[in-house]
Amino acid sequence: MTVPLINVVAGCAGSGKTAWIHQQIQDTTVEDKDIIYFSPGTGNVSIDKNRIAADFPQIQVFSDNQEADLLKQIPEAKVVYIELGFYLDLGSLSALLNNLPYRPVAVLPPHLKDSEYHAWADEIIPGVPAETNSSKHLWRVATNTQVIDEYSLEEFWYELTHGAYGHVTRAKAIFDVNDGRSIYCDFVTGVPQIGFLELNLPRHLEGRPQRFSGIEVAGENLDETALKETLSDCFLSDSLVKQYQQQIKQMLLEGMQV
Amino acid sequence: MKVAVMSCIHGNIEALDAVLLDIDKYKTEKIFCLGDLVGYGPYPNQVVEKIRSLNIPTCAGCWDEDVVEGLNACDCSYPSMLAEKRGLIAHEWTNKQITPENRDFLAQLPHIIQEDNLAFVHGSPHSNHEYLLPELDAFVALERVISSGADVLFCGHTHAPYYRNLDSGKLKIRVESKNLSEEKSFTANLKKIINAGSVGEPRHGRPNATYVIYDTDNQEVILREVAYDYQKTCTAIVENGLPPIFAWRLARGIEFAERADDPSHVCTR
Repeated sequence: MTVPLINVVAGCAGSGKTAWIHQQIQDTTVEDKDIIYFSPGTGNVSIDKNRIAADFPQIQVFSDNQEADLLKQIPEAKVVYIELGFYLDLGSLSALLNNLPYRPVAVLPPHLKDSEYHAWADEIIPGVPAETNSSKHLWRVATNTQVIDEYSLEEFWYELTHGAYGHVTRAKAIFDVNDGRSIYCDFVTGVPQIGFLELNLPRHLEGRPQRFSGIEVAGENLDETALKETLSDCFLSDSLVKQYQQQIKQMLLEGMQV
Repeated sequence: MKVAVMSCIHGNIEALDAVLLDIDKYKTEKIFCLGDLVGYGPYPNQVVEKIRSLNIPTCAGCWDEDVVEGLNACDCSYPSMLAEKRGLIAHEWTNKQITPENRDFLAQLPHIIQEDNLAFVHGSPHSNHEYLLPELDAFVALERVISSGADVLFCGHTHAPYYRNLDSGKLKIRVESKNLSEEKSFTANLKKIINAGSVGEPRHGRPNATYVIYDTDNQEVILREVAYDYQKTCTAIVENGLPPIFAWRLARGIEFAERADDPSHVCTR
């Protein structure tokens, strides 16, 4: 049995773990089909996994409750990336990996010194200057089948990332929007925002989308009730979803730019 | 003659009182108000009563109109579904609070007020819902001033103050038919658009109230920004059962309850 290079990647919230993995996959000469990505502890709100899967459709991605399949596939792969969220214990993978050797990599804000990550990692990657001690509260929700009004999302995202619902240090989300696109939203406090990114997925224009969408917010004193209510106010009704889909299909049929 | 012009008070009595105190310093001869006395803020009746008691000439704003006539706007009214839902909450709350006397007062507000070469409207001479943004096409802007019959058009509605000189108002037209080819040129005198901003619900990035002082003798425009205890209003918003997000936005001067980001949009209401 060959043992692939297993990279276990950890770091603070928003320090750039997924971005680093993304870059590694992009730069490697290994074929995508020989690469595995797994992000444990994300439950049914696995935003990073879905983003990686959208950008690299050939790589093998695994979710919680697929650990047995993951272990079966590891010997077949050449490179494995396991991303540990900031909320997981650094030793939490030892049992799962069944003593397979791995390379511990920490992606950390440059100002962070002498942390538990430094003691754990073989390699420290300088990440983005994210806050390191204000992510005590984690709020996640899957929004599969919902379509969000993009203008409303812009307002909600502004409020969310400017403290209207508590002190937010990290937020990320994938949403289906009016015109059928799936978009990725990303925020790390203190880091310039780049706006919403369209994921490399086909437009969904037939009924309610069945693919993944959801949001994860980390911070302090989050007002979960207000977050839920506001998010829910941004979702389109069945009739509006249908109306937008008909408009977009018609525009595409007429060769118009959407 | 010095006049003070204010707009978009939105039920914020604390901001209105602060502005009236500030106006006192300038010894103005008249105060004009460009409407939107109510909506979003927690003191709609107090604001209307203050304006009534001071006999301030006031034109109707879109919120005043909606409280009287019911909601009936074109799709420029809200920038998003979320803003529309919030606007509806504010509308329904205000509708319940407003007294019959104050509603009657709002119902008789004129669309436009004219005084000498000055005209006062809430949005534009065409509609209370239309935004005259600073980037609006100059030809359209000039048409709006000319259609008011004035040289200086005061407006509000955008919640961000500005003034704009329209000094190159030339229009050349050519009429051609079988027997005729004629060219005509028109030149408009210098026109001004002056936007008074918002007393009670600013969107210029700070919570301070804004209004305008205009001197008809030397055409001097002073855009005033007045600090006040906005936290009192924020507390009252929450205590009166209005959505706390209204207070959060007011405290940051980022209210954008209506669509105000598209200078090419012409209201179809």
